[in-house]
Amino acid sequence: MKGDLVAMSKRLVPAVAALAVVAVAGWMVGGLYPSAAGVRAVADVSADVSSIDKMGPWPPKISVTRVLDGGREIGEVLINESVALALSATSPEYTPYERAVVVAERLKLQIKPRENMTITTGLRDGVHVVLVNDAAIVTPLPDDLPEGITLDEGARLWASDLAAALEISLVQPDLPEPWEVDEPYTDKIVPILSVGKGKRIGGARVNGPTSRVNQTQAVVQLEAKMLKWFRVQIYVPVSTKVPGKSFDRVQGVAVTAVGDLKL
Amino acid sequence: MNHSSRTRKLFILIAIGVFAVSMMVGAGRNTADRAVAGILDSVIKGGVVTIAVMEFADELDDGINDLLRQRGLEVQGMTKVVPVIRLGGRGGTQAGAAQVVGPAEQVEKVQAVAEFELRLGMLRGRALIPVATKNPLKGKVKGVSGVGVNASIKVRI
Repeated sequence: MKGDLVAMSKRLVPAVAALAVVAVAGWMVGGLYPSAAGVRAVADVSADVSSIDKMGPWPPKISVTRVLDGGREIGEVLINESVALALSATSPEYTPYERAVVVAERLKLQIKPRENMTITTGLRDGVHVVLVNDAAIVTPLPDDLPEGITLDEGARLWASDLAAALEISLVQPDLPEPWEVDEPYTDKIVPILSVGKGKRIGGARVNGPTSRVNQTQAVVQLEAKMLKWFRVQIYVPVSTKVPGKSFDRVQGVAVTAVGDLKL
Repeated sequence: MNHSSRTRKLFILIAIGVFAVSMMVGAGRNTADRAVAGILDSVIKGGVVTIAVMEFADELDDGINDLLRQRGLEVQGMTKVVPVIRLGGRGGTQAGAAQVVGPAEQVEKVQAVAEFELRLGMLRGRALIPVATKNPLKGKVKGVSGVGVNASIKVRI
């Protein structure tokens, strides 16, 4: 009996220590993980053209300029002498100025009576593009956009700018439903149960909706070899501390930190 | 490109990486040389590993999902394989890849996973933060809500 207690305490010490490490790591980065509410602030890029009393000339004058900003080339597309788009990224084929020339030429081909024109955004071959009369006009690249703006948001911003410059109402694209959070998200530290080669003991920090996180009792770590060269560790949040032959996965919960100790 | 030719390409890539690293480590005669060689070792290995992993990102994504499906553990939501960028310590080392999981519109924003490591003796803690930039070294690191890591992927060299 005493021997069992000693053996159990020897196993317990590293487990508790590993959980402590992952707890400290999780606490250190806790501030970096935003609350779920933070993602609701998606930019509203709908163009408000109702306040425009005086319409500009039509058909519009479309031109291109090359600007150097601290040695960096920027290609600007101008509509009636005002900058509508500024392209600063170099694509595999074109410089920013050459991209602006291509955009201007594509735009000229789509000019119709104002009331027959549409501007929106969409996906073409998996990339986000600005569409004029359903024709792809320009694709924002990462270097075109400020830090933190996704390509989808960038395309919508450019579509909005273009619509405002041409004084055309923007057609909102068929976007997926915004990510609605039904309940607050929370974190929890749970033990990792290792399955496969090499015994490890440790803990994981899981994140997800509060009710799902409350269900999570452990993370099962599976190891697999794939395509000859790759070693994959898969983390499965489960609702039992002692999984049998099968596990009950908790959906909606994922791992954000792991800590372990090789035995 | 078919699977066998891509495997050959991966083999060549890894061979070049291992050769370059062994040349540099072998060339180091004093402490400073060895220190520089050590840094280059981690940078080159990290680069080779990341290129190799991203070349097979779709296959790995499908492979992990198939494996989980066979065991009745399939994931609800979108998954994607992205590079892992290790922050702190040596700073900026690319360290393999990870499969992230979460709501589709949130997963689409994820460009990389930032990894922070804390070592206390034999214990190791790793924080894994899905981020919306490919370069978390620039500016403030901000995670993508609702997305977590489903799998960690390393190349066996």
